[in-house]
Order: sequence, then C-alpha cells, then structure tokens
Amino acid sequence: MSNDSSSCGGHGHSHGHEHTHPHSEGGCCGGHGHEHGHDHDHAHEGGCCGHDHGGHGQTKPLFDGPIFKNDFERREFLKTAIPGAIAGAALTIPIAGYMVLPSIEGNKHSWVSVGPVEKFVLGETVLVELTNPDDFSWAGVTSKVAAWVRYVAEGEFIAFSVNCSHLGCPVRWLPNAKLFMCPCHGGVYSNDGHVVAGPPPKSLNRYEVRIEGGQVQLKTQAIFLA
Amino acid sequence: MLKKTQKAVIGTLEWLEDRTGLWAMFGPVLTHLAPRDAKWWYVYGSATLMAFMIQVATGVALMFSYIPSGGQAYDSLKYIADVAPWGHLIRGMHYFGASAMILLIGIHMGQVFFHGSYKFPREMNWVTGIALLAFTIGLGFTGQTLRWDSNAVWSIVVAAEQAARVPFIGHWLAHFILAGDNINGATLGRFFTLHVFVLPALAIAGIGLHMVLVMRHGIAEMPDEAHPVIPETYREEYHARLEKTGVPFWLMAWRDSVFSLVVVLAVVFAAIYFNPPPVELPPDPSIIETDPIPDFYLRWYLAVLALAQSDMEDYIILGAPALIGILLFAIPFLSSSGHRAPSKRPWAIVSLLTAMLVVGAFWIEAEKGNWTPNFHPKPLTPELIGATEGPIWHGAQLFQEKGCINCHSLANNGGHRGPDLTYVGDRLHKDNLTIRINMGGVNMPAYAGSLTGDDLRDLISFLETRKKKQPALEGEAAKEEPAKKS
Repeated sequence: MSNDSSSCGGHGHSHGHEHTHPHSEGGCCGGHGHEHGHDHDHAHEGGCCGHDHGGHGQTKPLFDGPIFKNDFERREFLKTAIPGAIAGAALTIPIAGYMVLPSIEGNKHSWVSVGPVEKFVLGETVLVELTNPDDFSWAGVTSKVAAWVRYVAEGEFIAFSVNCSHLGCPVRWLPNAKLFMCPCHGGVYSNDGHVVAGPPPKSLNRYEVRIEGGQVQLKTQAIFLA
Repeated sequence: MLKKTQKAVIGTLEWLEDRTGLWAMFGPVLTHLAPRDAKWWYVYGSATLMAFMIQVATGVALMFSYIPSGGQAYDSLKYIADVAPWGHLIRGMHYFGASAMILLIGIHMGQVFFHGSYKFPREMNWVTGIALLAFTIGLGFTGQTLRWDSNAVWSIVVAAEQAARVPFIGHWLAHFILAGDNINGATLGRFFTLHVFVLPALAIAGIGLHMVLVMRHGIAEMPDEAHPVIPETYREEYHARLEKTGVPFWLMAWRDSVFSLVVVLAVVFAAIYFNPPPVELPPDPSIIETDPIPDFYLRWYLAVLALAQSDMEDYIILGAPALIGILLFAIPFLSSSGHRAPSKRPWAIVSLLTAMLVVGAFWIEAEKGNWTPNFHPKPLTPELIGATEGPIWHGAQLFQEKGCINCHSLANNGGHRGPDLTYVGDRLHKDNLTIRINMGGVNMPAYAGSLTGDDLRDLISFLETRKKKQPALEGEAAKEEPAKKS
C-alpha cells in the first residue's frame, strides 16, 4: 500500500485519471456504478498508476499495477513483503506450537485403584470407574473413564476398555448372553472381547490390571484408536 | 427555525460523509440496480444472514453465563436452561436459529442451483457460499459439543475415532481433537474456541466476501430461455438490460425484510413453544448410558456412516465428505456457461432432485435408527408368548436373556437391527433356525457355544410358534377354529 504513491510519483507513470471527484471511489479506474466498492480497492492496490484504462465501462486489465514491472518495484515490494513474512512467522510458530505441542507430548499414565478385591464377585463382570490423576484440576467429571472388570479366578482379573473398536462408543455387558454390545451400530463382542458380529474391526482393548495391597488397580491408557 | 435545523442536520451529515466516506462506501449497496424480477425467489440469502445475526446476538447473550470449563460448563448450561430468567428462551432461540440457518442455506443453495445463478461470472459467489456452508456445519457441530453433556463428550469421541482413520496423521489428528489421548479437562476449550472465535470470524469474513461478490457481479436475473450465459457478452448484456429495466435495490428489499421478519418470529415462537434438545447426563465418560446422536440437520449423515458396509467403511468415512465437498466446489466450473433456465437443464434438475431424495432417504433412515440395538425392550407378555410355562415359555425367556430381543423385534417390541421375527415361524423351519442361531451371521453372533442343546431346542420351539395365526393353546383349543397353515 505504502509504495503506491511513491512508486507512482517516483516513476512518473502517467495517471489515467486523477482523483477528479471528492467521492470518486471508483473514479480512478472508471468502471461501473454498481461496482464502486470493488473498484475502490482495486484502484488503490495497483490499478491507479497503470496505463490508460480505456473508456468508461470497458473491461480494464487486471493486475496492471506497478508491482513487478521493474527491479525498482520488485525491491519495493520485497521491502514490504519480507518484514511482513518474518512477522507472520514470528507469530505463527509460538502460537501453533502452543496449540499443537500438548497433543504431541502425550499424557502420563499411572495405576489407579478401582476397589478392594473383596468387592468383586468371582466370574462376574462389572463396570468400574477410574479417574485420570494426570488431568487438570478444572476437568471435573470429564477426567473419569469406565472399564469392564471381570474377576476371572483367584488373583486374576481382566479389564476391558468400554470403547468399541469401531467408533469408540461405550459397549455394554449383557450378563446372561455373555456378550458386549455397542449401542451405536450394534457391534457385538464375545465374553473374551473378540468381535462376533457387526462392524468393529478389532477386539475390545484391554487395560493392564494388577493387585496391589488388596486393591485391584488398572493402568490408565490412551483411548483406543482404530 | 425549521429551515435552520434542516440546514444544520444536512451540514452535519455532509461533514460526516466528507470525513468518513461511509455513504460512498455503502450507499451503492442500497442504490445499485437489481433486476426487476428479483422477487420472492431471492429472499433466502438475506434470511440466512438474518439467522446468522440471531446466532451472533443470542450467542453473545449466552456467553454472559456460560463457563467454558470441563468441570463447570455442564452446570452453567443447566443454569441457563433451567434457572436463568429467559435462559430457556435464549438457548431455544440459539438452537432454532441454528436450525433455521442450516435450512435456509439449504433452500438458498437449492434456489441458486435451480436457477443456474452460479454460472459465469458468479462462480466465486457459489464457491464462497460453499465455504460458508462448511463453516456453518462446523458451527453446528461444535455448538452441540458446547452442551458438554454425555452426548457431547461421546460425539467428540466418535469424531476423534473417525479422524483417526485418516492415513498417516490420523492418530495425531485424533489426539489434537481430544486435546490429549483421551477426553480430558482441555477438550472443551478447543470446541469452545472454534465455536466462539474461529468459525464466527471465518463466517463473518466469508459473508463479507460473499456480499462484495454480489455487488461486483450484480444480482442474477430470473433465468430466461432467451438469454443463455455467453461469457463474452454476458456482462454487457446484463448491464444493458439492467439500465433499461432495473430497480434500485432498496425499492426491492422490502421482501427480504418481510421474510426475515418471518424467520425471526418463527425462531422466537419455536423457542417459546418447543424445547431445544435437552441437556443430557453430565459429561462423565464413565457414564455409558449414551448413544451419541447429532442434532437433526447432521443426522442424515450419521445414517450414511451407520449404513456403510464395514469393509468399505474407511473409504466412506473419509471419502464421502471429501467427495461431497469437491463436487460442491466444482459445480460452477463443471458448467459455467449456457442455459440457466431449468427447462433447458434437465440433468441439473435431475441431480438436484436426486440429491434431495438421497439426503431425505438417509434422513428417514436416521429417524428410524434401526442400526442401534434396543437396550431397554419391554418384557414379553404371556399373551405374546402364548404360554406361561413349558418349553415355549422357557424359549421366550432365553430370547430375552441371550440378547436376541436387543436386535430382533416381536410384535414391535425389541430392536430392529436384525430381521423382525414376529412371524418367523412362517418363514423358517426348525433346521433353518438351528443353523442361523448356531452359526450367526455378519451382524449376528454365533450362539453354538453359549446355548445348551436343551436351550436351543426350547428357543426354537418358541420361534416356531411365531406365526400369523397363533396355534391355539391347550384348554382354549376348543373355542378356536383349528389353525391350518400351508
């Protein structure tokens, strides 16, 4: 913008039309009355100092401005553009980094107790909830997740992720049928989490389980992604 | 005195205009010539703008109370919906305003396509319009997530899982959406920022550009078989016709004004007399009683995904939006000249109708939602079972316990994921039933391992009695005519 007048003046291009009218926002390049708004911008960005514009209402050459006609103008353009580009980069890098880095760094995962061993009944599969201790203090209930935990045998537990391997919806356990069923698209998993029907591509994901000081503990983990 | 005042007012206005140039800048919007036949067909664009303004105004109002924090958003929204004076009204207006905006965009697009108004030189009017459609859908989806209830968090999980299907960067993309490797305290911030800052800014810029283009190319005339678009001469002829018969825009704008009023009143009345989607259970991912469903205007697309066959699913999840997007952007470049009149563009009309039918059909399927199992079927009644003890009764209990009823319905009770079994006894014999139950199918688990021989026998006896005319029960047999089945 700033080199508009300087290059015009400095180079002595002939002005097709001077600003002859106080309100002639389109006057510079002629053009149609209906197109005033646009012509205004166009004129100031490069049309003003170009060659003759032909008669009123004729199609005028686009981009016939001063930019890139000779080395002087190229230099003038770069004088404006390069600092702008550097400023843009100086702003973009920290902002993009701030937004993207947390999702690259990954989360910390740790063992979380879901209850004493006595609470679980041998052979039964129950829903437990665990709260991610790594989450923000303002996360509230959002930091909770659920898991299906089964007391398989003395000292042995299995924990399934509730997330269907299809699109992540929470599967439900049908105790009599001994099946996990997904409410979204009817994916069905067997007792041991294998797909037996519907769209899921993979078995139910499992959590690591351990027994520590009489407590059943699950290790938090990333949500399963297909 | 009056003259003096008048002079002072005019003087002030002239001074203002001299120093600001506002009239020079915006006056042409009012005074530019519009085709005289631009009547009721042309009100949908301005009505869409009005809907957007409703959204901005009600959105700002909602922000007075909304707290974009993972732990508090739900409570603040509950407060807006249930407690805040007129909060229910404003939330309703924001919801119905969004619905109106999406519907009006659909109508506006349909009208522009129907009349071929996207053709030369207005290709970029269409392209910026498609970008605005994308921003609006983005606003719709992110807006639903700001309800920050169980439906919202599970919708985000599903969105992240879909993004994870993108080759190479999928998992990173999913983690970016979730703001981590699972739903957490930072997740809401992303959707909030998109909904309240990024997308509205893009929409406002897009609307500005869209309007500049309307001014630049002028409002399209009603299509006329006698005036096909010939790019070499179109502009000249358009302006020539306009000079002769055009009318200043502000003399035609009353229709826009009236229709926009209708839209505003409809939104206000809808907010008063109907409820926006409820704020569901808290955003606690350990609550699994959920079936994440988008609001109605995105539901047809849910059906596309749900009905996709599993082995082509990845291609549909990723390919369908890409293909629809590319096709929409490409429309003005596929046919940028020639006839605009619908009567001369039969294939365009066929395409429009096909698109409407396809979306409509998916919409109907989405309303039925037959792909979801029914987790809360009513218990089968003895009347329906036709027995209160014995193998048939036992079979009926197995039908419910083993999960059959979650996907198969009997007399409209149960799920619709699998075939309706109300009259399965008429269709299948014992052997077929045995094979199907034991072997399962693509969408049905095999039960060979989980049913004992006796259980299977009873279940089949129960299913065999599912016929159009129930075989008469013992004791009551004498009253009924013996049912003969062919």
